[in-house]
Amino acid sequence: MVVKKEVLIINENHSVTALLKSYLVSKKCNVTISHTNTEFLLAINSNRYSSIITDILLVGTSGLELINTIKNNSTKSKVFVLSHMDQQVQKEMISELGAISFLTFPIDLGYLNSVIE
Amino acid sequence: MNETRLQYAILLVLIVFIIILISLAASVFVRKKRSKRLQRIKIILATSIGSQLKNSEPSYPTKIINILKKELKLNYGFMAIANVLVELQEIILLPQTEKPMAIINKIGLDSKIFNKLKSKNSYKIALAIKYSYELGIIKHCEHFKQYTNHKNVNLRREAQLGLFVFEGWGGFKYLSNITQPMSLWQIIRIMEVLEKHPLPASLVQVKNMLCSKHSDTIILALYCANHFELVTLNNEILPCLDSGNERISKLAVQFKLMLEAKTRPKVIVGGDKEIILKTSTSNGSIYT
Repeated sequence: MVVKKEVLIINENHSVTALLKSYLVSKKCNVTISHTNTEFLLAINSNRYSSIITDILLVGTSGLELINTIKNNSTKSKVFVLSHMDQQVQKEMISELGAISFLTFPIDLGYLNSVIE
Repeated sequence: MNETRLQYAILLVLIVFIIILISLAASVFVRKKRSKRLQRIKIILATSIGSQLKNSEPSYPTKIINILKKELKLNYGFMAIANVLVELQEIILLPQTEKPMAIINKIGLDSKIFNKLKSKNSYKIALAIKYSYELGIIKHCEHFKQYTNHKNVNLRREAQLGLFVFEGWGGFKYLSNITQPMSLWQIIRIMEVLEKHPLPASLVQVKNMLCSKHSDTIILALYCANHFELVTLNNEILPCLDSGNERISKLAVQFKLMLEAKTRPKVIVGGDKEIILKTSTSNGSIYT
């Protein structure tokens, strides 16, 4: 039996989450979506995600707080940060916090697939 | 008599006030309904495109196609769908060949945009051109050419940009005869598009632009020469130094400075002896 990968997507934009979810589901992943900070806090407590794709900004929390919460609650997860900005300083800061990869829009799905695998 | 008039006036004001309130409420209701419908379409499109990305020949469920076709029949429905598709392309990276053409053809969005291209209204044509190049509908490119020198500024800007999007550096050949002014903003947009295209082996089209009688086309060519460091255009650009047009001569000076900086021999700071020795002996100038 093939064990499906558990992926959590945290983003306020419904188009982004719908697109990524349908793509990852077609790649045999179990996908959970959080559009709000409350949904995210509920989801993160379960600590069952192998990968977490998160937006850098979510209403009610800052990007740094968000990654810290992920790293404290979901220690085994690979964290991928989504952002519209492609700035080296921001990338370095996020990497220091423990994010595995930095994905800028438009997302290269081939790359996303390879890093999740 | 006066009292009756006053009562009529108050009644009239009240009626107008009520009408305004009703129309405002109706407008809010329609907008809310429309925004909900658009959000639904966005999710439908995102979900179906996302699930079909791994398929080389995507097949979309009839139910989804019907929903989109129904939307397309509405006034400006094509704009809503086109906007959603453009937005989705900003979320995920799709190669030119894998733009959501399958769904565009299937629901007839391309023919709807093509009809707008044939419109007599400049605004509609400009919009159709914009959607055509943003969605990668290359078969519409042929129709852009006739508008590159159009008197409507928005239309000619979109037509020029569309040609650069599809033809890259080849887009210059459609600008050599333009007479209408070109803004700096348009020049920046063209250069941004050119950054995504590889530099061609021959720059003959840019050279032709430099010989143009229209100052704005020369300015565009000069900006490109400076930005992309087209040093091979040296012979064509240096005569621009004596141009009576201040912008042209300034850009030519910038080009000259860039050229000098590129051709100036590099000074080896710190003096790595081995490198200096190798360079010198290979030239045969120093014997140790």
